[in-house]
Amino acid sequence: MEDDKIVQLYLERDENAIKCSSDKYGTKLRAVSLAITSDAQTSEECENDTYLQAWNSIPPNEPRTYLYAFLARIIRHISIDRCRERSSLKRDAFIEELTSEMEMCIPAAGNVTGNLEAKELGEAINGFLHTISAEKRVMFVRRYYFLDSISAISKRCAVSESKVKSVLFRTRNDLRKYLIKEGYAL
Amino acid sequence: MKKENLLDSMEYIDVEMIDEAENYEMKAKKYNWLKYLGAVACLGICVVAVITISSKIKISNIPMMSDIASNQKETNPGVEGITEQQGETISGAGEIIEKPVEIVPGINNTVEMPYDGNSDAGLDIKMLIGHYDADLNAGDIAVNNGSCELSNSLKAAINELGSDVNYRVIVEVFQDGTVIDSGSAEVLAEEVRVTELGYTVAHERYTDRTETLDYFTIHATAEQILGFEVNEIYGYYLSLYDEYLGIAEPMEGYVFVTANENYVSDEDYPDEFQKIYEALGNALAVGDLPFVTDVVVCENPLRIEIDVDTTDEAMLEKLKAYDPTGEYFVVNTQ
Repeated sequence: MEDDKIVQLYLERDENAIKCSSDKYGTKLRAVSLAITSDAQTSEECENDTYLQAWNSIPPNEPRTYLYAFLARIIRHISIDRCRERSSLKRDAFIEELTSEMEMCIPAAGNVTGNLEAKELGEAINGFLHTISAEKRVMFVRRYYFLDSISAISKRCAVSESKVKSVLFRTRNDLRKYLIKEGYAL
Repeated sequence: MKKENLLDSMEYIDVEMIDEAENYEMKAKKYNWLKYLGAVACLGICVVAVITISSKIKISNIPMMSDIASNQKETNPGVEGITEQQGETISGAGEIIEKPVEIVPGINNTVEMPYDGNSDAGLDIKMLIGHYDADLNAGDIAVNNGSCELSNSLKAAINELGSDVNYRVIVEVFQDGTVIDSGSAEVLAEEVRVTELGYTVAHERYTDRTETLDYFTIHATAEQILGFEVNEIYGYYLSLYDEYLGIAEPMEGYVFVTANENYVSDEDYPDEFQKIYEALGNALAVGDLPFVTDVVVCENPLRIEIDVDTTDEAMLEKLKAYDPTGEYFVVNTQ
């Protein structure tokens, strides 16, 4: 079923919306969650919570043309929160690693508790991502949005792991310079 | 915002980017090996292309090649306008080819240009290329022990250009299908082995405040690449330099380490040097020294060669302040 029709079911408060969402995107969404939580059971819980949150947020939202991205954003958020809440998942080191990588993009690192808000930074990153090639953008988004491993990105993009590391390394440096240029030095 | 919430900022990227990243799946293209084999048979009669040399190819900074470069000057005293950086000398298997690099009028010779396939033919020169047809992706990167795989771009470059140019190549070493860190002792040992086989080897290390990346590179002829002699306990994946690194322009804050048979780990560098090296890298990373165009760490003797595009005394003093002993910096004004 097309996204537009699934969203229409949500808007009409038809519970088939959840089944259709699950049929169409369930596997992908669980994969997103699994990459973050590294736990199959938790990823299933996150998937169910995602549909519930989607049910509660459509309306007012109407993601007719971007339903997958809408659901992916929800499950990513839920999965990261779940990792933070449950130390038993042992994903602290992974989240910390990615956070540290992100931190290095920020001018005046170590002082990110300043005035910069997540939304403001996110919009700046969004602007930066529009300036780089698709390949670099995909690798960056896979790493810091989907929290993919280097190995997974390597397979998806058909390049070596070393190239993925190189591209991410350089893209982080470029992002840092972009943020300085755009006046985001804290 | 707290540091812990940095990842949350990614929630604000456009949905199109999320879809793009989700649907992006590049399948490795298989290069036409029949065409490739045909080209191998025709090595030596291929068209010679005009390709400029990247400023990153610092022949004068590669210790094992510096003597050769000096010899080149002596044997080519009549060549004018060719600097050490622009000249090229390649040490092949059992032979040394000494020829100047053609400078293409109207092209900024500090920027490496991709081969466009339409360049002039018939130039009797040997050049080093590190970039060819960026649209070709990596190819099969699962390399078994005892075998050597070439990237699609490298195959295509050899097919087109054959033995009329030399190739700047990144070597990745695998063991049991897993890539080995190029900064490891195993790979450094491989660099020594390959050096002894007659290859020109350069070890590059790029670093910023977050991590360090090492690269095992060779400058090789088509014959050396096609006949790459493997160590049976490893697999090898060879790709063109700028295909691998993605972009050609040098990055601020990067440090280039050359390697030869005397290569030593940077952990063996004096603490004083380490501190200077780190401080310089940090200054470059945050843009404090915008007039610095290139930084090269050289050994024997240990020093940091720095290219700058200014002669302003105040700026040069600012740079030199990072080397309080005055012992390590060699500043080259361009």
